[in-house]
Amino acid sequence: MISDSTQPRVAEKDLLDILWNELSSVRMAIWLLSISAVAILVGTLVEQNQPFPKYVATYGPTLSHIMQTIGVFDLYHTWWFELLMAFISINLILSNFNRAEKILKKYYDVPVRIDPGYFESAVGRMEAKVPGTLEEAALKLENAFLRLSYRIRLASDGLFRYYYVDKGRVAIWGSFIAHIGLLLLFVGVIYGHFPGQSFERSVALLEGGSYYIPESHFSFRLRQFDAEWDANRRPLLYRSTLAVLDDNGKEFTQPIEVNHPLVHRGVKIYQATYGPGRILGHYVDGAGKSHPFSVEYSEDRMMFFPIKLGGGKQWVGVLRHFVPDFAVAPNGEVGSLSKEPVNPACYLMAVTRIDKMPPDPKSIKPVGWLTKSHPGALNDVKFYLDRVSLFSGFQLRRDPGVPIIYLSFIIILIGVGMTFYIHHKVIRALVRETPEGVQLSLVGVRRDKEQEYEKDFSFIKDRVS
Amino acid sequence: MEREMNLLFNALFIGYCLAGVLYLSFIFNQNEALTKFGKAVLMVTFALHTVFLIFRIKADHDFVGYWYAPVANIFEHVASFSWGLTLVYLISETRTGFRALGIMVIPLIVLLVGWAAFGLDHAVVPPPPALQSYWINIHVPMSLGAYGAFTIAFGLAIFYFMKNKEESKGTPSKGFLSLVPSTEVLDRMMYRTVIVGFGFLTALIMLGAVWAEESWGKYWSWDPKETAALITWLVYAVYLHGRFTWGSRKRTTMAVLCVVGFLAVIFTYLGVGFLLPGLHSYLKG
Repeated sequence: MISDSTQPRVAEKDLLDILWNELSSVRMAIWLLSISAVAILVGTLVEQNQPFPKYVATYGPTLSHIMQTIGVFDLYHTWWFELLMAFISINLILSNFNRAEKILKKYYDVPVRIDPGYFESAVGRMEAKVPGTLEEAALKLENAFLRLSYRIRLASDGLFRYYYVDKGRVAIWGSFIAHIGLLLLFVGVIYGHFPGQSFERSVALLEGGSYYIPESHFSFRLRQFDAEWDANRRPLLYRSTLAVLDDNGKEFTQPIEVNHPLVHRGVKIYQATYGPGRILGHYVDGAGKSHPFSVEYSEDRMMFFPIKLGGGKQWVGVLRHFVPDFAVAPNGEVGSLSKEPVNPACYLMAVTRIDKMPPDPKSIKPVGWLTKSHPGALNDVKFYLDRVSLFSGFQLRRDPGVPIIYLSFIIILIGVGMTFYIHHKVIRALVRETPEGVQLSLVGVRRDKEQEYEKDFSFIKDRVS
Repeated sequence: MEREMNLLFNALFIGYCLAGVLYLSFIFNQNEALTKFGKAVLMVTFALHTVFLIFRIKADHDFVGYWYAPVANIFEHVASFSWGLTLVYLISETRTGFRALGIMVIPLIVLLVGWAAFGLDHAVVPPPPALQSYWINIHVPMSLGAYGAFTIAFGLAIFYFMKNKEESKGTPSKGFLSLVPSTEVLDRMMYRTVIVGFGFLTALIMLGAVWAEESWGKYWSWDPKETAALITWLVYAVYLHGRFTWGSRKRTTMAVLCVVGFLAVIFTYLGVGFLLPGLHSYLKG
């Protein structure tokens, strides 16, 4: 009966131990890091969050459906990728938990090895004869260690004196600190995604337009948007001048550019993008009267505006094509020199009879391309393109996790620096009386740093001889 | 001035080619004088390369009115990266005395400089708005240190395979391989080089995240360049964890990881910038 009742408990404990050991092991870390690398490689090669038909066109219907089922098209938000990150976090927590105890022991509880056999068999040891008595030799050795800033631990065994000396032991904490930093990074990311804590949205405004941020009780208005391009039509600058109005009546104006966001009440407003927003022009009717027109830009639809002529007569203007950087090739073909709205142009048509829908094709008359320097005409009506007002695109974001993430970066960098660039040097030494005199043996414990030990050994040898 | 600078850059290509030939001659003839001459040519070319970059910085400044590191377009980045790689190589050779390493590294430098000299537009152009930040002087140069060190580690890994083959036969190495250190030493050199690169790469990714937060409004966007750099970081993290676990017992696995890591570097440096769309695509120039 006793064995029956205890057996399962032993098994449970074993299972827990096995699970703990596996989840906290470096081997598990290697697997998790490798799987993450492969998953992220897939996410890099397969463009994320694209319309499904685009994937079908690239990978074919069957493979696309399989990939969609696995979540390859939005890989970083799949349950299994988040589970992978959770396992990495568990591995970090458990391995650090295990590591802390070992590090504390290694840091404070120094093991002085009382074993002459160790010094006889150690690879890379240095032997030296020391003049004088054992006490004198030990004193010289200790002074040499102190000159080299080593911490000394000593154990005596009759005519044998054993030393454990080390320096740079702060490096022992390096990987622990780096891993704590990584955990803090995860905390920062999760905290930044808490509902109610953070938000992120895109806003596009035309000059004069404003947007109210309810979460932070202030609004901002786009007073002016400026864009400049170089001679090669590459963007040099785009800048929005924003007027911020607080709920408590505070008002100020600030220009923002890429790399120079506006920060107010924990919200960052970034200059993200720009593009054509509204096409503004005017036409002059047969009587010489000027009428402005303004249409909202659309990338994929025709844009309409009324054309009022004298005597109650009316046409409809149809802007069909928009070209951001108008150019005509020698063969007469129209194209765009760049994607930038440096020299915008629109192709205009006019529907001259609007009494029936759809209009009679014969009533659709081409006016031609309108640019800022080239007006168009139909009968006695002239059309002018005055300007294309650009919209300014903003990225609005509040992420309280960012300071935590920055702190984690500092901690990770300190940890990595301590792990790899501070050398924890440990020397074991034995001073003993032999028939030939006092004998000194030195062993550098970290084998991969033997060159540095050679330098220290040489200094010690000079000091004690 | 532009013409003179182009000529100087073409002269660099010739200098690196000559150094490469002299180092490669080491395979057939382990003549100490030849390799010393090779190193002298390499150092003179490197000095001229430094002069070129100083003039380039001045030319950039004269064009836009402010100072910035010459890494704002693909030509400048390749010109700077090849300079950084040469510097890392010269430091490695001086510290280790391992001259044969040049056989692996200098041809890569020749390829990079040749590509920059004859395949890329040298024109001085103002940086796009996203790169008009002091961060360009901090974030991008980190990549020179990281990728330079990983390239050296790759060269060491190739030597490791060659030497390992020799050692497994049990016969003493012949020819230039007799001047290549043992696999044990190569493994240690690889480790030391990787930890230098890993530190730079960690700083590169983190400083990039801080810049991205300032410039794009998001410290991490899962942009292909970011994810490719993360893959590289993960590969070398696997390497470091592997070395911690296995010590020097699985040296060949470690060398394989150095090769995989270098492939990840190439993918990050070139593959992503040219083949995949993303926020870093302005590198296409």
